[in-house]
Amino acid sequence: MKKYYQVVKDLHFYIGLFISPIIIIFAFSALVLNHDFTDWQDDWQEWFFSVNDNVDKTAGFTIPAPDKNDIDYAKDILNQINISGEIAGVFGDSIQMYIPVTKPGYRISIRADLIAEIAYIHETKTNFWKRLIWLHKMPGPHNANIRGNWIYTKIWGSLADFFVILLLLSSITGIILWYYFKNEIAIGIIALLIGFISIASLVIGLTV
Amino acid sequence: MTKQKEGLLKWNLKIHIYIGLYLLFFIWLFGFSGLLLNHHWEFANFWEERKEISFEKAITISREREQYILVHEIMDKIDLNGSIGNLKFSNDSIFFNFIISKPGTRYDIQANLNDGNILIKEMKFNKWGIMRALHVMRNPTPKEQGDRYQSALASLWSISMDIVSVSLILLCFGGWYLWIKAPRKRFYLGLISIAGGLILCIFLLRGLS
Repeated sequence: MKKYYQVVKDLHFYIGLFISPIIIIFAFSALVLNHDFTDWQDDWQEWFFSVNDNVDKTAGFTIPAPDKNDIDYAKDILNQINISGEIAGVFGDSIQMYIPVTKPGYRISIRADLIAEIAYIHETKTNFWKRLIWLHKMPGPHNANIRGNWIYTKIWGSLADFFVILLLLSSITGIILWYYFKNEIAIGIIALLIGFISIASLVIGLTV
Repeated sequence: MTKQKEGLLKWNLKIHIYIGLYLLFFIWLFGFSGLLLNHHWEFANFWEERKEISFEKAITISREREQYILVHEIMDKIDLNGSIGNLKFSNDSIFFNFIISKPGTRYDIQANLNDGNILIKEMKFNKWGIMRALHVMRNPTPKEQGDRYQSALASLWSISMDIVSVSLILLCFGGWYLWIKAPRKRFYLGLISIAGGLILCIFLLRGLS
């Protein structure tokens, strides 16, 4: 067992350091999400269609080929009007199409007039807290059929998974390392038990 | 290294071990449920697997129309516990709809404010649904809190989340201290690791925004 000590120690040390910046971002954003630091529970519908009340700019486009699904159709329009981001939904009919787009720090509400071939755009900047929340919650469980339609959301999602897997691996290597610290076994077991009792009692209480 | 610095290093290592062990099950729960939330794995299907029943209760509802006071009154009278969400009056103000949820269970409530008839749709979820709910559960706002035990437990859970978040940050800082005090070769290799993580984050954050 001793021959693996150095390998496990190195793994724990370097993996831990590598993931530490992102762990801090996620831990800090969890604090923000847990409390009412900011009014983050927005009325999504309100900003989806905010272009009806405010227009910052307009841009022309040509109607994309009709053989595309809604997301690809909307992406084609976004490419033409030079806007990037995660499409939060596509709503409309043969006359107009609403395309709300999000990315950290921005919310863009777009109404594409499919007859006049003009896109009306309203852009809102969001604050630091909402930026953090975006990062914590993306891609997330909602709108599963369309989520990840922007390349950066996809990369961010894969990277978040990768970091979580490294965190789990780091926790396992941590347990193995603890085994080598003979003096810390007793107090370590107490810490482990307190953690287990805390989580188990809360989960049982909350689910009953 | 002076004796004082040696002592600090030793205690930092001890605290790193204890915090890490205390957090272990929380890390596993949040790590795994985070993966579940980001993916839609067939084995972790919870919505389609839910068990649903509907039933009715008749109560007397006061003339109070402030939505949170009304919610607490109805919850007390129908004896249900959980977090409150999606409060909505119908256009004619006869019906009041809201959701009561706790990990593993959700109640969709439709209250007829005229005759006091309460339609309750109860949904029970499997273990995957419970894990997801635990991940996204947050601190109830003062208006959402009632005298029920579930409110107290939800607050306790949220305090635990705070402790977990702060402890994780401390764990990282403790790790950095151990890295700074590491021998020269380990220090430089560690620097490459931490810089790699940091550059990846910065590159992505810039790309995202």
